[in-house]
Amino acid sequence: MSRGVVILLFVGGYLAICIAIGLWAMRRTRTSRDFFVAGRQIGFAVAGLAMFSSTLSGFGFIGGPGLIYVMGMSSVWIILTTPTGMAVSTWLLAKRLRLLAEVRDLVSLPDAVAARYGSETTRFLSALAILLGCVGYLATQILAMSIVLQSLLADVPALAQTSLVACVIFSTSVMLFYSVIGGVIAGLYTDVMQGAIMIVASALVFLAAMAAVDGGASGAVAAIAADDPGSMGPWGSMGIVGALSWYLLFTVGGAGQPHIVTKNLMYRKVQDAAHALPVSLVAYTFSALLWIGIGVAMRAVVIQGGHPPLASADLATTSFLQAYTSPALAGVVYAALFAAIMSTGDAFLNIGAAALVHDMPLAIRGRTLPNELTAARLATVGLGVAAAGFALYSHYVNERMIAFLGAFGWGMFAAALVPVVAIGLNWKRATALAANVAIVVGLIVNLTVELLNIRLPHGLHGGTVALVLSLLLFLAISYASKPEPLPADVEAIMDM
Amino acid sequence: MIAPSSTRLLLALLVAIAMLFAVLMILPASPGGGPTPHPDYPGMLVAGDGSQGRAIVALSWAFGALEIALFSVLVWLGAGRRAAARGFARPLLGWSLVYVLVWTLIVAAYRGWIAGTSGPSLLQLPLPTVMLLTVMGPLPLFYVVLYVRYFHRWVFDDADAARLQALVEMRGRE
Repeated sequence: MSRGVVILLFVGGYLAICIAIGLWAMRRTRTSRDFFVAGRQIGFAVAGLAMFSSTLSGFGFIGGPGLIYVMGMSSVWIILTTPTGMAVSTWLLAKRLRLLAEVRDLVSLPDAVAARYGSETTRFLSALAILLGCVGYLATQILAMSIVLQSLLADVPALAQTSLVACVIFSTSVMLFYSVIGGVIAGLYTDVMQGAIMIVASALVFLAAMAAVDGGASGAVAAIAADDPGSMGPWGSMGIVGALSWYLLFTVGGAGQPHIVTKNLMYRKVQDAAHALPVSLVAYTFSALLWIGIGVAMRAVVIQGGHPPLASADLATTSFLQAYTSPALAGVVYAALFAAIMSTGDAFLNIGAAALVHDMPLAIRGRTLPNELTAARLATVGLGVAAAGFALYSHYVNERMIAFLGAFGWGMFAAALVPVVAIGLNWKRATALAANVAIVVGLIVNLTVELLNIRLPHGLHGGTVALVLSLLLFLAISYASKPEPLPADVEAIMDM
Repeated sequence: MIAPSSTRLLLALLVAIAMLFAVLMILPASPGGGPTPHPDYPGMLVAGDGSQGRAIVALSWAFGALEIALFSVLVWLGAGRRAAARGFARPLLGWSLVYVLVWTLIVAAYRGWIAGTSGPSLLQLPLPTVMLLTVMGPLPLFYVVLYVRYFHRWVFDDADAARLQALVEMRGRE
């Protein structure tokens, strides 16, 4: 049996399990509440693994190693933010969101925003921010999955000529299938399986990566440092300001990522937050080994002359798997790559659908759609198609690296939602006007920097500037405006 | 809920960071400070000798210290006033100072590495990189330990559970 067929069998088996979970979850999904928040019946282990696997996506498994290949240690600053980011986000949001969900029967983040500010405009704007960010971030996942799939099929003679467009169509279809039929229940339980695969595969591939380079880990570092000392320095090629600007964006911005913080609405009980946090963190730490291992190994083997330079940094992971792993390990890791990508993709499909069929109709018409569950399934398909189109545009027209596309999506959520959600749910003085301004400014600054391709000096990230600006405006406008009365239940929750 | 002074502190930190950004925007980049395309391998970037101008390093030290303060103030904001009354402030403040001290030592080690006074330490990595990965990386786990270990003391206690139950029942009656 050829190498390509062995790998394909592993991936096929994995996809079959995902589809089976989707079919099983379909029977448990009877209401839109089941579809969006799993009926609030998720224990800490499932929630913790789901949070971790939603965090570490195609951005981490495909874009992350590519980023190390491009700029050395700079990429590690994104990994370093994880313990701080998860902790800050949990301290700020886990309890308050879970309590609000129980008292107000919420199904989405904009629901929480509307409950806090008593403003349908704020609900609409937060839903809009989520929708825009979702399409961008979902496109990252689809593009990553398609690149992985194309590289996989290149090893199977009968399928070697499959185009990227065909891979995008197939990837989107599989992701849509189990998201549409099973909603968030399918997403959460596939997250558990996906998380487990990601942990095992990452540990194994790290060992393989270090074995691939002459001299092991120290040989890899020595080769890279001899070629360019700065890339193995503490800030990598990007420089100190760029590294620190990522540190701020990815740490504080974590509290604005709807696909992650929405999981807080789903806990069976508020105490689950305390146990989910370490589960998430340990799982992430193991999985980050793949990010570092492959990135360092690929840069080193190219410099040592053991591998030709990559045509694109996004090919670091797949090139490594093709050249330096056994078919069985490659099969497990390919399954893990699909797992990482699909677990984040389904989370975005879910919250994007909620924004479209739940939050926006509530904000505009004052009531939800008549058959919200069917509408949610249709909206999921629509979102998937839009994101697939954006993925192809980004790849062919804009030529963006997956990591930079992901950083843009993260920055957009961070600037638009951190002030409104993370600060607003902890500060009674915050006002709806300040929230609206923060969302709009966060979106405009991020989109302007991205669309006009503005590069700030010293590697300062546009998303970081947008985040600081929106936070500043949020606080300053709240202080300058007249305090607004809070509903008694919301005030009671903020006092706990 | 949080004391008003804490959000003012947050505002002050953000103003300081914004001012720092403004200075960075007008400060010229040093020759070794920015990434340039690798001469041999397309797609890779190089940092050269990794050196940054003295002003950039000084500003960046301040940027890092402000970030650490910001993270701690955000944790403080999430913990709320009641946690402060139950002894939360002292460990948080103490650990934040340790965090800033470690950051300061990394910047100092970086200066030594650039000056050529320190060679590779672990796995051929320069000392400041080793310190970053092995000391500063795990430091924020303290925030996690505080949350997990003291959840019932600083986050959600039995009295909160009773208040929540009363709220849910009140909403149910409405």
